[in-house]
Amino acid sequence: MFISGLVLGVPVVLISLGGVGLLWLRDPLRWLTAMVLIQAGGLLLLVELAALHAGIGPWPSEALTLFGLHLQPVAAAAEGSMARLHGLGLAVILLGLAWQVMLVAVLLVLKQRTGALQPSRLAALAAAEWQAILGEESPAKAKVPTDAKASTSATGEHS
Amino acid sequence: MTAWDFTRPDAPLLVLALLLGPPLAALALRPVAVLSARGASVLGPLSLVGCALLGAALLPVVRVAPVQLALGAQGAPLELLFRVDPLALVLALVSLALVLLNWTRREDDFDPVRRDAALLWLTTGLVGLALAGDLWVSWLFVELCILATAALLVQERSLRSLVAVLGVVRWSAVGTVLAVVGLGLLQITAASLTPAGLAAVAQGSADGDVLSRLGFGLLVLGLAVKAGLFPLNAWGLAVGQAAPARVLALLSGAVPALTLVALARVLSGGELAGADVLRVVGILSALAGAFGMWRADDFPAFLMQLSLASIGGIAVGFSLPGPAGLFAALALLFHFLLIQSALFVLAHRWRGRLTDLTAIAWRMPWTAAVLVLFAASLVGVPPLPGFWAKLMLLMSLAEYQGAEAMLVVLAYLLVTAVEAAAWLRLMRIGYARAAKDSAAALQEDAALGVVRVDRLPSLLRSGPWARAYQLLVAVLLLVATLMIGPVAEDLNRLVVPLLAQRVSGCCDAGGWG
Repeated sequence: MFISGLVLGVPVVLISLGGVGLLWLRDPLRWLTAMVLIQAGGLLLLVELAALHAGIGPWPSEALTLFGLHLQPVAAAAEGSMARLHGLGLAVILLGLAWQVMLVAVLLVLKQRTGALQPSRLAALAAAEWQAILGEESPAKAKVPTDAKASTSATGEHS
Repeated sequence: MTAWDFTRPDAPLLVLALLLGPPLAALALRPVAVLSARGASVLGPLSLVGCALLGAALLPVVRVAPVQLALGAQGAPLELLFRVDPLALVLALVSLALVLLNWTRREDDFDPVRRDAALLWLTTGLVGLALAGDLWVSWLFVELCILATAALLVQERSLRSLVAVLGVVRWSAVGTVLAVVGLGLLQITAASLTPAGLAAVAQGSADGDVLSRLGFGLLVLGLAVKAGLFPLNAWGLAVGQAAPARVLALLSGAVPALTLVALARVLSGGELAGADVLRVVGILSALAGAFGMWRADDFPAFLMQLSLASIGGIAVGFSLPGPAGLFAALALLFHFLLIQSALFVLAHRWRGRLTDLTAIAWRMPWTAAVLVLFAASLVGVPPLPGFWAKLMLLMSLAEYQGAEAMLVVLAYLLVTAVEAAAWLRLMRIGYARAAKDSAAALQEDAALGVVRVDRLPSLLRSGPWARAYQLLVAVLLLVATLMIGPVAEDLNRLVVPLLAQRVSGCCDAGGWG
């Protein structure tokens, strides 16, 4: 029973650690580690669920009982469900890789442009850029040397 | 048999063409660009128009009988199930139209081909999400939509867009893990993740239902992260400041709306935990969005919060077990998508602070009048279509007894009141008379040698096509107001397949199901 709980507990702990890491940590570099943890945990969980579904040993059911959960086996369409679990695992691998590649690429570009990856510095720079957009490029602040007056004729609309 | 009779055996091939059009165009863009830049620039819109024509041709066919399609051999790991009924096809067509509407090229595009390709992948995600036959496929296409959106953000190349992508990646990973665990748990308890398979689980014994309830709740939360529902939308603010209006329009409109419809197809009247979770998240989103509108300082942020409030209301409607809730939710959804698309067309130019719009209504009277019409319908002023949709939602909520139902009704009324206050604030700014401060500022600038001239109207003016589209939407709203009966009948025909997929006997008005 202990082993069963441990086997099911490992992916749950991995996923929880990764999730908490993603939400809690502020350093973007560490998010990569958290994402890898989540991906590994997710894959392990899917493997265990597939094993459970295929009826490989009683341990998954025992492990679920530890958490107060009871499984009602589905006899019909078991092959379809197994295939779908494999598909889900494949999607997790591919999507996980896609997000990790995107994260690394963005971090590299940010490092190149700002010289640092401190979250506070990144947030401050992004906020300053946004303020600049609002303050300087805002049409209301446009400065041109003309004596034009505001009127509907300037817009092409007429009352 | 007529030419487009849907007993014809090649109907699945037409569906396949509709699904594969945008991704094939995305893959072909780069080679075509090598041969002809102009050819590449029209390839994307042409493929979307072609897909829209295919969809329009399929519509009479699926009205006779839905077309079901499985891509991949039976039992293959990535078998994709699609179910094309009138509602799914209409949503796919709406998605294509929205992407086409937002298909504009900027002169400062760093790599137009890459941008077009990302937009086509986003279209693939939206069309696939609309036609998805089970939850697994829906989740896959939601992921594709978010990936494509992140790719579009990266191409903005501004610092804030890159920082926004970090937030998207971070929260998307959280959403993915919730959804994957939920899907995994559902997969081992249900024979399939189609509405019928999940309905069988909901009707099964309660003993084995714990895992499926847990799985469904986690899946709803995971998809809520992707759809940007409160309080799981922490990435939304940064994206709102970084993304161009066209991306924002799709991200805050079509993506969450289609995700909610995918969920609504399998919600079994509250018998799976997802309905409760969706209702709570929905009403929280509506409240957060309404107060966000009230506090917004710039026009895109105002529209983002408006979208959140509207999507929240739609989520509440979909979470209700009865047909009235479904009907109200779909009415709100189409109404929202129509008006939101026109408002974001306006946001292409209105990117600045709300205060920049001071007295704009006197200079752009037609645009302001259209804006007032949109606001009135969104708030729910009778007899505009938005009023009927909101009234329907409130009436379907009022059917249920208990403190929880009353609480949701009160919260939704509060949302409507705050939305109205936010719109009035915007109108007050727009219809303000020229302020003395502006004149003083002009004099001050003149004294400094820099004449600050009011170029605002010409810079904020939308292009002729954009203005034409706004007028078209306004006319459609007025026509729908005058022909509310036939419009409601058409909508009812779309609700029928959704209802047919839900569990029968789930719609007792005595409780939440």
